[in-house]
Amino acid sequence: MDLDDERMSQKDPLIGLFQDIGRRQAPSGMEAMVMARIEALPSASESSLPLIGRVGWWMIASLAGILVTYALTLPTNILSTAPAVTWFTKGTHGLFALLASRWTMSILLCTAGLSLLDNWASAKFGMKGQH
Amino acid sequence: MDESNTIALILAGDRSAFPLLMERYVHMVHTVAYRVLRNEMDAEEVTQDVFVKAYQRLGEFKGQGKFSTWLYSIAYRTAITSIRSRKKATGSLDELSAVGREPSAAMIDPIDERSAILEKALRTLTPEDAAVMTMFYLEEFSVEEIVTVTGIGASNVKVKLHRCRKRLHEVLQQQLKGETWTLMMSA
Repeated sequence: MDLDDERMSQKDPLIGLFQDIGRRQAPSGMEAMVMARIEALPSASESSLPLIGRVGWWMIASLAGILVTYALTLPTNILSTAPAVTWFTKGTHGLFALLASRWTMSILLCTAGLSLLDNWASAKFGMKGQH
Repeated sequence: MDESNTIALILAGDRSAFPLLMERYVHMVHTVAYRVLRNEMDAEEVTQDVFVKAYQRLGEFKGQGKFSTWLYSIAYRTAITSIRSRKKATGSLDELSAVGREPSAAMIDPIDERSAILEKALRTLTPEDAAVMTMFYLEEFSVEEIVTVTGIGASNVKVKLHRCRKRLHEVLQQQLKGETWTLMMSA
């Protein structure tokens, strides 16, 4: 017999004992003490959906991974005028050169930094940025 | 007032509706806190913390499951975190359990003799196991709900329930002088 079934069929005397004794009574005045603490907090509010969802973060992480890999395949010799031709850069040089530009990388880093700050503030202070 | 309406009111900024939720669940939260911490003062502190956290996170409750399970989850985790921080300060969790094995009357504050006997029997279990038994037998949570609250796997929960039930039967049989327990079992 399943544990739940056994309990529900009342064959287990522990259920009778636990139920007879019931819950412990919380001390009186508990509600007032909690309300005093709550008064100091910002109002509870509906938590808005995150600006970037889980799938979005995976996509950003994948893109960042690709860009870092690409950056590592670039020639290290600054005097070189031609980009290194590797299995990775073949045929994708134009697109990835654009995506791996300083501007794109800076935007990605700023987005990641601000989102992390938002999540940290939300967890620490119960604050959530207005999206 | 309906529970979902109360929650909607609080989320709309009406703090005065929060005591309605507290009134309904304060004894449930206090019971699990006490079962884990085994100390009235610590249980009071944790009960307060649980409701403050629940207020802060109320917007995260989407109404997909029962509110009681969601709140119980906060209560269980807060109590476990609290006892673990105490463990770091005072020694191992086993030592804390051992301290509770022979509670004084003042510590238990029994409602009646059976309550005291049950509290004493529960102190032979680890705090986590005592909470799991309370969820199963007092709150009548299903195994799936206990999994949601504790984050322990279903098979582990079942093993814990079997093991703890056996242990409690043994202890209660000794405490309740055998005959009384046999009568309860046949009832």
